[in-house]
Amino acid sequence: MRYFSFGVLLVSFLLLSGCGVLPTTDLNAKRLEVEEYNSLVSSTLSAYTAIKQKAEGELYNLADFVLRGGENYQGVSLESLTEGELESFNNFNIFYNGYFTSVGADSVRQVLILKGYDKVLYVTVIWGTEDIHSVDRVVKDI
Amino acid sequence: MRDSKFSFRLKVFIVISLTLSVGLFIYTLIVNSGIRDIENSRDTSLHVLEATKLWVVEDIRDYLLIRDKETYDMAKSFVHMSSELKKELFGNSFEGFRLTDIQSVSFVDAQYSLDSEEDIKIYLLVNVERPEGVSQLNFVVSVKDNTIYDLLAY
Repeated sequence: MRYFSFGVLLVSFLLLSGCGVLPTTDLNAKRLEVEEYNSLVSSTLSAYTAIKQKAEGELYNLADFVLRGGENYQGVSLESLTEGELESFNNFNIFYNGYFTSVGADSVRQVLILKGYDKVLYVTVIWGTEDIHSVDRVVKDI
Repeated sequence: MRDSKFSFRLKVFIVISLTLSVGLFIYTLIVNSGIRDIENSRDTSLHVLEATKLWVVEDIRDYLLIRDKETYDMAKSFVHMSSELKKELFGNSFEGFRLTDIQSVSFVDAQYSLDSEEDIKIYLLVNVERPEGVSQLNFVVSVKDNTIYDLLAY
């Protein structure tokens, strides 16, 4: 009887600890999840490379557009900066130009900072694969 | 007679139990090996960037939500910032720190650049709620060796 009790305890222990380590993950579901993630990474990298290449080719056109405005540039329209603001950017330099993305994004965010004489223009552009989705501008005094 | 019957049942019980346990063990090994193989095929090229993005969000949140000496001290000790940047943003002590009227923040977007090789650039778009209303703040955060060394906000 003593052995029997011991056996029952042992089996209970083994089975209960077994339940704890028993993998509940469905391998097919796991494989699908990893494949889907890899495909997202791959499409993100391709979109980033293609859009960034296009945006870099348009850098000076974009700088001119965000300063002087225009109709239907890459799908968007913008008013010109005021005369007073524009004056500061008669001579400007590109203080910062960077491109950003994250897993799953099919667009790229460009942050462009133009430094004028006494003002800075912060521009955030969202580029899609075909054209620009949105442009935001903020002018600040230095 | 009764004892030998009991002994036989006990043996059967132990054999079944051991078989089940060994089976379970082998099954676990096989499945875990399968999971490991699948995980090894995962593209990890963006993992560091994704992880950096997450802690940068937390650091900026802690900084923006400083309300009193307690949150100031916590943020100052918790954030991963270079000593120069910490001094610039936090000052020497709470007494010299200028509190903002920010009530809450929510992160609209957090992204990273794929170009920087020497450092990591993170972009954050944050909705900031103040008594007069909600406005947006943009951040470009430069990270090197798991430390924020530069912060650009507009």
